[in-house]
Amino acid sequence: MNSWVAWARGPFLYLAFSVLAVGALRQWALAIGELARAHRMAGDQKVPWRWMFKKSLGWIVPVNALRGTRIPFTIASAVFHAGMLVVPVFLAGHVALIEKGIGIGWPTLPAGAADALTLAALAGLGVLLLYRLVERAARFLSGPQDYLLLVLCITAFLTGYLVAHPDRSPLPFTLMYLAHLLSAELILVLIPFSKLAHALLFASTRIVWELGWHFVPGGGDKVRAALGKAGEPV
Amino acid sequence: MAEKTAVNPGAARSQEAGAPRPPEAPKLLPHKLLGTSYFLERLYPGDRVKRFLEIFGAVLKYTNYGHLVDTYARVGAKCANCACACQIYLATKDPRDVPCYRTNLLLEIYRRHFTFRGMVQSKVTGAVYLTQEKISELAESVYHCTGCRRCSFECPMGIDHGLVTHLSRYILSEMDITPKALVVATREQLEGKTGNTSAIPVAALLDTLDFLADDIKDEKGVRVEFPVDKEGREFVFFPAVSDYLLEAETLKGIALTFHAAGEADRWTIGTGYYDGINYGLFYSDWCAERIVNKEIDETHRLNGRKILIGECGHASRSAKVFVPSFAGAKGAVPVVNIMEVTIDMLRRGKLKLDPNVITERVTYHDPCNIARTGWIVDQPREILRAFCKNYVDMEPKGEKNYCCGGGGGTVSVDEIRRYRTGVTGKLKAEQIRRTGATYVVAPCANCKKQLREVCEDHGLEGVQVVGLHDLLYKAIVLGGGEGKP
Repeated sequence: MNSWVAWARGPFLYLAFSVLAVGALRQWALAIGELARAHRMAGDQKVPWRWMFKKSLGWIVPVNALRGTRIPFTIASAVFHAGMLVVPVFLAGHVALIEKGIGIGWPTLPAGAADALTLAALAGLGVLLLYRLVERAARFLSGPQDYLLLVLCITAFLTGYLVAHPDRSPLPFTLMYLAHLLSAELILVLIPFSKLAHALLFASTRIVWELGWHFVPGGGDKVRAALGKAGEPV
Repeated sequence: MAEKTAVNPGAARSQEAGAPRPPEAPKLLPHKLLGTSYFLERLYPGDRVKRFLEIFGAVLKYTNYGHLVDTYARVGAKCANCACACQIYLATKDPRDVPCYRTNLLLEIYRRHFTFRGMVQSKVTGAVYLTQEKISELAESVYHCTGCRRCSFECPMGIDHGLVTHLSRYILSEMDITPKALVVATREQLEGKTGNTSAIPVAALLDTLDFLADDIKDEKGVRVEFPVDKEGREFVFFPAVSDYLLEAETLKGIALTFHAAGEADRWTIGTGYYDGINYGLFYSDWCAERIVNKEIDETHRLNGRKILIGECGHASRSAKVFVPSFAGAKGAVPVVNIMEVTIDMLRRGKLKLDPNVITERVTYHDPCNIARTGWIVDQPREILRAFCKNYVDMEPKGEKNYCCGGGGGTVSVDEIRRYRTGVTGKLKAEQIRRTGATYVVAPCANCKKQLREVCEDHGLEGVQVVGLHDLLYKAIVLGGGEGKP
């Protein structure tokens, strides 16, 4: 078991981060290239940057959605995302591990705050799962991926909490530790290849939307020519 | 020649039942019974699956949709947040009407046929994902949607479901799957003798304008000009051309407003082209570009400086968005809506309105195409409050309004009326009922037609659906000194 843990803490961790880094770079490069192409092809090259920035910010801090009809969902989602962004990066244990590996460290969260955020994130994940299971529209839309990713996140947070509090863990520490390492690494690996990609592409989705409406002059004619319909009437 | 074929939803949907449908879902009414089948002119005779993929491929290559579809296919989280805002889902509670589900119909085709992973998947399983049934389902689904884009406010991932619906309709249109009503009108507009969607010849247009001018003379006692083919004017006017047949009061109101402000020399109607309607916005980029170019050409022919769109939501938005899109933002002719001109006259004190003419309760319906982006929300309210004592707002309103239920061109498809008024217009009917208004002001040709049918089918008998300038026509006070400051 210990050799598994060593492996998960060592080579597999580097592998997971490498996959994430390469995947992220590829997606960002693709996004920037494609957006530049769309902008070049568009007839109307004026882009309302401020509006898009405001819109994106509106979803990072979803205050407006708090007036909507799905308030528990919004709160649960915001809390979970806050936990997901803060805890893995600023947890003392994580920072120590990274410092040992690459020699760079940064300020860390107090243990109490990390615990609170973790439990809040878990509660948020629970609510999100409940929505998927109970709400008709959400359940109809959900496929295996949608459930498995939620379960994966729950596993990562739960095992993380139990690793920090071995006295509360029903299972042996090493097993918890291994499960935590593997589930977290799996999340990192899956980010570029699943819907978790929104973590990478969130910033650009409003630009994509905006440029989508900037149609290409002559595009319709080219499509019809490619289909062998050039010159055909309506 | 024109073969009538109904897209049959029932068959397509029952095949889908196997996959993600929750077993305890109550029995859903087949959409056929809701009356959503629309007529097609003809069907593509060859292999439709192959053709669909060819068209999709060409569209991805030559337009700006490629990256959009790719991004949406990656980030779509299927959270169902959009469902709580969709008036169609709220009316039917049918999960197939959730905007994200509709979007996903197309995105899944993209994932399975145009991505590396999809190609590997199909090599391994040896199965072709896209089938005739899936095309039928998409064809039906995209015309359930009124393209109001209310859901776009709700998607945390920034997916514009309205744009994806537009894209799906565009792809389908290239294989002739578009409601016949829309195609026939667009064909007349682009290739017919009259060059407009209502097939009104120039002689009939001029007759109508004479008739309207006589009407104003009778009712208001003044000779009001409908300027025709005047060169060098600020505005060249393009209403929804059907207004010349159906909305005489609106046109009279517009002419009288210009007259009363003493600014009748600012606008003109062009006989070369006089139709603001652009169904391209609903189903075809190719048509959209050609139609928009007709507006631009006519404006240049008359040496006009701006395109003025009448009371019509989609005409306004399609011109506003597509003129710079297709003509280039630099030097593009500016596009204004008539209400922007009227509010400007009112604010400059050029209009005198009698507050004692309209005493009944008035409410305002926001046409999605001009309200969703916040473009025209406050202007009409300011105008109405200036002379309507008993004005009330609907809830929700403005950017977050509900669609009349006839958006996205569906209002022109007469065979789906039962669906339009019974399902998509249901919430609107309840909204109107709650206001208790006598006048529902809807400055949009599509909304007017749809809301009249909604009121009829929901027993809202005392309600009158009118344009904004219809009421202005009644309230404008002519002082005899028009044109003199």
